[in-house]
Amino acid sequence: MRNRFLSLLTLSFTLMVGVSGTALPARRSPVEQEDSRNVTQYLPAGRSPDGWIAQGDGQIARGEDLYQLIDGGAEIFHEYGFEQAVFMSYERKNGDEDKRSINLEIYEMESPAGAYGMYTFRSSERGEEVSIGNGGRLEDYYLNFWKGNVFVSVIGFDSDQVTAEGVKAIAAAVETRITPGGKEPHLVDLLPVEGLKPNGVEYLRGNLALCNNYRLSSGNIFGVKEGVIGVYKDHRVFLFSYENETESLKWFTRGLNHLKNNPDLSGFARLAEGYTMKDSRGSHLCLESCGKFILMVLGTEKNALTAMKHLKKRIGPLQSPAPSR
Amino acid sequence: MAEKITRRTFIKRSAAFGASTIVGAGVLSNCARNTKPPVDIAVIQGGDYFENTMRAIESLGGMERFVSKGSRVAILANPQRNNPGAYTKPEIVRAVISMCNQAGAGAISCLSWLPEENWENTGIKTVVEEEGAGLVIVDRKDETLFEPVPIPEGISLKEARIMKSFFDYDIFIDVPVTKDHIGNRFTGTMKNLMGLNSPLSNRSFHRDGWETDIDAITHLDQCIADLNTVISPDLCVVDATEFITTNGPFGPGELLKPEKVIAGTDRVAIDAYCCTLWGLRGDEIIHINKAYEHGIGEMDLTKLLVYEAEA
Repeated sequence: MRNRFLSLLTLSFTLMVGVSGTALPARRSPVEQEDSRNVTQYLPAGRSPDGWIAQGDGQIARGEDLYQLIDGGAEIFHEYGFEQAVFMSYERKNGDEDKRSINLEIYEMESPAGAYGMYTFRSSERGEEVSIGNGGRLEDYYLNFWKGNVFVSVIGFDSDQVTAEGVKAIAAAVETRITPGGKEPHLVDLLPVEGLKPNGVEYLRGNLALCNNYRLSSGNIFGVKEGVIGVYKDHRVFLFSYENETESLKWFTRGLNHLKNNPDLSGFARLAEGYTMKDSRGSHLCLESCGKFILMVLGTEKNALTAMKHLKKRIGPLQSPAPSR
Repeated sequence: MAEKITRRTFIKRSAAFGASTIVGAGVLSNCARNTKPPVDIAVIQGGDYFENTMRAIESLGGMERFVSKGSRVAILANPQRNNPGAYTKPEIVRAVISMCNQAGAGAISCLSWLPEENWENTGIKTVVEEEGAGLVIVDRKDETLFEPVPIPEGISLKEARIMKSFFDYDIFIDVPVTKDHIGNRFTGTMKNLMGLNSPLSNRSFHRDGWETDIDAITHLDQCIADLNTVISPDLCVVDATEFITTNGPFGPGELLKPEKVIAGTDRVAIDAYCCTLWGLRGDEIIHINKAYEHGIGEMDLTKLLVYEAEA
């Protein structure tokens, strides 16, 4: 195989002349890791919460270093304003055969809105509520919560009772280490309450999270920097917020032009106060500009239009929420 | 044992492949590659993942079709994180190594730039050692350990940086776990090849240059397709036994357990098939479309011979 590509490699070396590689940021030494705000402060006190034994010293990542820890998974954390993280593994043995493991992931974000956003991105309506931090929820084998500007995920390797209790115990031990604080962004309050699914809110800080929920286009055609998605029984509501009405209208026009040229959309039609179209899966999309917001509803033809009316009714008198950043 | 063969039409083998620019077409070029496998995609379902893997590869005609005596085999598994459904199951890697040994491979190694800790935590390291294979960990921070490889057909990615160790092997077996991935929604055989490319280069997939954020996910997907024009696995064995369908690639997320192992040689076809396991369509995934446009494989499952059976 090597010989086969010798000539190609020679060529590539030639092309590489003058191109200098940028080294990845060097891993910090343990001493360096102790500086400034130490994310390890959030780890449970002691090394064996509820009998689960910490394995090693854990892994720490700050800023761009998160890519070294979770590669492509880091993008979404940066979209929500990632600061630093610590990962720790725990084990509990009951004889040689019964060994259980739990992973703990603690992410400190720039703001409570970022921690809340990551929580909404990572969580679903499944599972059961638990009284740990804000939004504590045990979903199958893992538990997520947020508190202040910290997002926490505790992951069991199975969903049986012993592991689930360990997951909850470790989560509770972390929760006590985090300074209380943080409120949901005001934008979330604009979603119609009726019919909103439990944990059916996803707070957005950019296009990546939006694309993961519903892909209008791979590009950020609406210039989304802040938004919220509400999931209802038979439709979804999208609300994008801008600095002012001028900005909103600018992005509405740009986005609309992109959608008109999107071959995956059909039945494009103008309504009295907005537009409607159908996606490749047959869902109807209603789109309107409303003051400093862009409103979008995805559902069947009938309920999308009805939901849009409800949304506008709610947005109308509430068009100036306090800034949430 | 229940069996199902979906026969439509066979894939037209792409004559557009520039074989001389494809890395990975080793000794196989002279033997099995020139003969068509009995099926395009083999899918075996069951609770014994080792058995599923053996059966899937046997359905393609056996490992001997891909590994000749004395050949050196590189295996690319995915030990990204030991969260459930986020890594290749050790028993699948075990079966692949075991079958390579039985076929008379001269050397077998798992290659990676992920730290050894990942291989330990996922249990794959133990399997590699028990089966007598090697584990080659490349220092991800040392760019001198990666070979620049031009991508003549690249649209977004003009040059890959492939770990040099890879070129010491004749045969390349891609053993990913299929799962969700943030943004582009899917990872499988083709995205797994980023595990051979230097992390520094991979960063440019996720961001168009280091300085500016990229909004277009298309860039990442195009880069994946471009990379696949110069690296071609001789065999793909996909873990679809248990995987995350949300919060990928790292998890934790919603787990799906189809208990399937999928084997084949057409990456585009396999990835298009894997999409259907959790309600996606191949044509909804940008890099599958881009790879198809590159002529790497077939994404229309109706044109493929898919063999499905329970172990």
